[in-house]
Amino acid sequence: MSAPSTVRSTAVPEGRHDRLAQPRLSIAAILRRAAVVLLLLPIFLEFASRTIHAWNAPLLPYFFDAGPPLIPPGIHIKASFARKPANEYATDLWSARIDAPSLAHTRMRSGVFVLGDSQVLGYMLDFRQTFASLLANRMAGGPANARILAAPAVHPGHFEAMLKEYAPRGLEPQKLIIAGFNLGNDLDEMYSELFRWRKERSSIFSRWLLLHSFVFMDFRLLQNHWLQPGNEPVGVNPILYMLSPDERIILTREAVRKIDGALADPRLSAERKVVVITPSDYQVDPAQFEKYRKYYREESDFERWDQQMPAFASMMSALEGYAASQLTSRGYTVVRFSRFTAGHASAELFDDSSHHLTAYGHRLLADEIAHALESGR
Amino acid sequence: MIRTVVRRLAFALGFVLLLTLCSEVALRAFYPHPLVERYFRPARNSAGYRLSRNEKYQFFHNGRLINVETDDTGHRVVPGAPSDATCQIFVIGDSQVFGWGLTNEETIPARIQQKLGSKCRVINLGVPGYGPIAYAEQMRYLPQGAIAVVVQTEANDLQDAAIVHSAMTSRCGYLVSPAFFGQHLPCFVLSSYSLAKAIEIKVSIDPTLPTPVGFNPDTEAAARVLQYRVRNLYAEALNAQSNPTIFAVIPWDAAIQAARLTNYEPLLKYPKRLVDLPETSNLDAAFRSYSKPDELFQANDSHVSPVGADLVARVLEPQIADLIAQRTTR
Repeated sequence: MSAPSTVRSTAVPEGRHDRLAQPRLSIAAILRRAAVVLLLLPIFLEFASRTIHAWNAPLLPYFFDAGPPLIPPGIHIKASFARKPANEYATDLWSARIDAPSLAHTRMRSGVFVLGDSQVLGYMLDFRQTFASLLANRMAGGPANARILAAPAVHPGHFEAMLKEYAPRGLEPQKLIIAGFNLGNDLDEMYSELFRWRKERSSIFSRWLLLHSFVFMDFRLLQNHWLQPGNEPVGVNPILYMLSPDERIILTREAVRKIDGALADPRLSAERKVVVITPSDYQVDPAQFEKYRKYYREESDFERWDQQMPAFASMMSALEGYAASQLTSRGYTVVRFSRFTAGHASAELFDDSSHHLTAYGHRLLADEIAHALESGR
Repeated sequence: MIRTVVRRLAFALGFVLLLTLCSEVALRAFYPHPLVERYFRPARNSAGYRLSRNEKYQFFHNGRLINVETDDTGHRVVPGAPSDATCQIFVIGDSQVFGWGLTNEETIPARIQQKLGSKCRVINLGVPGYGPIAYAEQMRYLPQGAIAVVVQTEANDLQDAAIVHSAMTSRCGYLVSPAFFGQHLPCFVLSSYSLAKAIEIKVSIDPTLPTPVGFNPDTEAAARVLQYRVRNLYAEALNAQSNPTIFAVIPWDAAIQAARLTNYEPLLKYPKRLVDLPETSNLDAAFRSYSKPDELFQANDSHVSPVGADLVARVLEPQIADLIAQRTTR
């Protein structure tokens, strides 16, 4: 008869048994403690982050998964950037910004459809403060009859792909289609594609985190901050020091070609098609560069760039004139924000920490677009 | 508790060090020659480096033993090049011209020399990592009356024109990244076989390269800017000297062999050339019409194989011969 295993285990000398059991116990205890910490730490951090951010998301998530950057479809998020008042952002099921989540499942007809980047999106603005909504209120039956297909980091080279993604079989007929050309920023983005060959891909898990975890959003903000090249002057468009004047014209010509390629698509029907050109802030007022002083470690660095602002403003204005003439010759109504800023304080037009237009700037832009359409320009 | 953790960490570190040492000894026993190229030196040119002078170096590249020999001017030796010839042909380019993964006898300049015979001296000005900015710089300093052949690389030359300095620098004889590790690792670590093998494994796990900017629709606009820049660079260099110059472009390997598209990101459905490099030759047609396209490039590498180098030389030789004839007539 074989002896039971329990009997056999007692055959181990007592001292050796203790030596074997002791590390096993301590490892189990360490693992238990680690599990508790791993479970509690994210909960604690998430709670801390949400408290610090007053339960408003610190960023607006966007992904590159479909090719061009897009805000996730069907979201409803309250976000506050740089401690500014919070705004609500809602998107329809195809990623365009909408007035309210109740519209998410509907397609828009005879409205104002806007295509562009964070400038036309209404960064740090409520939907009804955007020029798209203001125009819809004036000419398309109400402030909600507008859609803004836009995201940060978009440039005219993305327009065709964005429209294809939004309406594969063609967009419903609209009252007005507007393409936003955020001049300096868009040209920078188009050129910097050279250095972004490996597109950011996000797993389902990281997408979920980016939408729901404030800690993860903080992490992404920090990551973006660290990724910023240290020697890149904030507030200056890189195309101004990376490209020659001729090269900037070629890049602008390409941007115009891309805008035309997207708007001329026969599947895009509207009563009117307009291109809105928004300038760099220093282009309207070189003194706007002052707001970027805080980002410079060396005062001399800032001063060096600051002295060049009037010249940079002239260069960008020349590019804007070229783009406008090219687009006009292709039959588009072109509205240039920089042309009607005289008499307005630039601080009222631009955000005090970025190149984005304020609510007042959007209102001015909406007025000018309406005026251009009414006067048949 | 802390002491135990420290002891275990020290043990783990010691184990890793021992393992690295063992792998280094094993690799050195297995490979009688180094696994990485070490024949570069810093220079005051636009790239910031050039080839070492009078170097005789042998190393293993993808399992082949490669010999690299440089002359006293820091150019890769072209076997059979007559030193007393009055006619000189300078072949300018990057690693393709240098002959990455090829022996001295297999490089494009060596093949051109073999085809031309002893009537002219072919000089290999190819340096890995160089681009159009460096080519234009080299063109300016050629002796009067020399023939220049600029062999560009479609896979990366437009992109290389985006920045003045090369994306690499030279340290301890190696080409290294300008990032922290490249600039701070001690020379003995850079020359270790284990590091070379580790990099080789890392590359084999993720071999993806950027799709050439002239093919990538996302970079088309920027590529047109760079195309203009490259044309200008060459025009200015040609204005500075009046040497007869041939411009050729070695096509992107995936444009010739579509199966290689998966080596590149973003992944294209098919390779459509949107923006091209200036060219007075037509290597693309020769590569496309070649009966065995899979033999033209090295395995898992966008560089030309000995067969590809020979084809390039075969296409260029008649054009060079024409220029030599015109020069003689004059």
